[in-house]
Amino acid sequence: MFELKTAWRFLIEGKFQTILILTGIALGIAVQIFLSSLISGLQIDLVDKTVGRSSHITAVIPDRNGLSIVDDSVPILTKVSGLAQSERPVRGWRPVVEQLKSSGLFTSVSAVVDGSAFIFKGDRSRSVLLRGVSIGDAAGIYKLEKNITKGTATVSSTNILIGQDLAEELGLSIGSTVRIATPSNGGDLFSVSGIFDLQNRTINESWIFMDLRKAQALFNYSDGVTSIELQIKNVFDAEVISTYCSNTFYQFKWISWQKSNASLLAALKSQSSSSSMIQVLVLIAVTMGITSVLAVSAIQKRRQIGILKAVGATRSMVSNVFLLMGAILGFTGAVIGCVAGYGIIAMFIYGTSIQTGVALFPISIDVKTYLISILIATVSGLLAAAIPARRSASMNPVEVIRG
Amino acid sequence: MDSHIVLSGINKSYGNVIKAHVLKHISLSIEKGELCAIIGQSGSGKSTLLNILGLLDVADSGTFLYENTDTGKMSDDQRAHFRNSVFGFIFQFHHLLPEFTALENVLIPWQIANGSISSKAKARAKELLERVGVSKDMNNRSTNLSGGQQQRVAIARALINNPQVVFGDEPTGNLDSDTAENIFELIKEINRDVDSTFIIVTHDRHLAAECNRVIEIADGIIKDDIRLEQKTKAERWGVLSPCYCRLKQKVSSVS
Repeated sequence: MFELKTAWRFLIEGKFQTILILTGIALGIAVQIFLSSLISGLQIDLVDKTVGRSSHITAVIPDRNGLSIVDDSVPILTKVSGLAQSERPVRGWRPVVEQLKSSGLFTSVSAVVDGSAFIFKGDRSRSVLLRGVSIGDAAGIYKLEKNITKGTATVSSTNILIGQDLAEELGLSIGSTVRIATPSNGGDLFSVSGIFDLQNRTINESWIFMDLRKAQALFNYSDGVTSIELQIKNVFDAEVISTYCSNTFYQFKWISWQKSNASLLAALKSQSSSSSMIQVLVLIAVTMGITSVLAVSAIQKRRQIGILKAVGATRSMVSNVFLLMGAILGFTGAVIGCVAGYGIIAMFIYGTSIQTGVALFPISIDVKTYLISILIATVSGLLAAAIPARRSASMNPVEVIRG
Repeated sequence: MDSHIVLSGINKSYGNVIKAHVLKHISLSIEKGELCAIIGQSGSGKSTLLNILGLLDVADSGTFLYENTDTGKMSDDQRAHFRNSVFGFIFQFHHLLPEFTALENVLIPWQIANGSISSKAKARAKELLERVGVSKDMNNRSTNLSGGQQQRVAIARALINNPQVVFGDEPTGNLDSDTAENIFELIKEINRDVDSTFIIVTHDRHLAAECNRVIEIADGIIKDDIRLEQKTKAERWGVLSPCYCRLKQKVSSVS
């Protein structure tokens, strides 16, 4: 491959120039890699914090009056709690849950009875959201194994789980006895078997997990539930899956987490687009750098190109030499840039975790990002070489050999 | 008649605003195996003629038949192919690629034609370098060679693809007179050994006197076309040395 050999020799010969432009490309790609890793890591973290410990898709009972219960401006938790007053529980939920569980689309499926209640301890009382669940199913969604700070994640007809803020406010600990009253039931006594921390103050001070059947009895719902909570593998599929569910089980209203977190999504989207804009600008700078270096090189190598043409190199051979120079620069620069970018990320993780032991942000390191960066830089190198390549290819050898 | 190279009515001008008519209706035929010198003062148009013969440049009008093929109908790439495989070139300023070694420079036309280097090609290149006497330094970068050595490498490069015609544009013009003589001897030897045609542009009448044929160009026309094959060295010099010759003519016309 004569063109490749010539391109390589030209680059090696112009050492200083080659090293300079490679450094430029590498810096650009390193910034790109670092930025995209940081931002996608940040986003994954943010999404995980937002929906990692909650329902991705929630099936609720459509409002009796035909009014939509979904209000985009209010977080879903408030909505669910607001449901209890106006709804009737659904009774035929078991086959639906069975079908959802066997569909393979969901990592967790949990039928819930929600309702407002009061909790009493001594002379103090608090308004709470009583959540009747099958504890095994709920544990999947709320990662209870991990988020129980004291006691165990078990409920029974006499045992409940409470949030740590509620426990603090009422001075409760494992084994404490409380009384819980609902509008339809004067009150039963329960013992606290576990205290959870779902890293959300509102939840930690108002939620109580209780056995499903016990909650049904407290609310007089017989075998009804008020909602079904679902978690899926890829949180961003929630919208699609929720639409699919709406078409299959129309007795419920299906709400995806995106619907209830519109502002978060908008923030993520604008973050993504500003990140891609920076990346495009970096890429343009890299491409222009390669073009200018190759333009200079085309002038420096005029004599050589003239000789090659005089002894029979065709237009396409000459232009291939320059295209290959561009591609080699783009590729090599990008590979160095990827290594440097990875180095910066490693340093960042190390630097931010010195004090806490945990990195400030979990940075996502995706091999695909690196490969795409290298591919795009190589293609940019090719494009950047197009003009110098064309100019050199059309050079007249007579101009050079005259001396 | 052997129609190896036939030019008829070749015109060539340069410049857009002020036109310089460099070649004026040149007609010429060159036979296979000739060692032909083109002489003339600088600006006479001899290099332009060589460039047109070598398909480096294209005439404005007229026809150039090579082995009965009309070169005027060739595309850029066809002409490039001709320059690569049918012709060989030796330029005044050696024109080796500084990025490559002597051996690699010799192999460039071969690589342009064939892509990769075969062991046979490498052997041939080494043989040629041996023939021109640079085999010891063949792995040196061309910038580390002396002027004479560079020109020898350029001769080897011109011969690598077994050309039918070898063109030389002042091949000794950049060398001191001893080296120039050596190089020209080499060219003559090679012309005797291979049956390629050699067309050499030079302003040096001493060198031209060594050729079989001398074409003198002045102001874009062929002023003289002299065949020297059968002549002795003294006769050749008598014909080519302009001052002697004219003085003699004047003397003889007076007496």
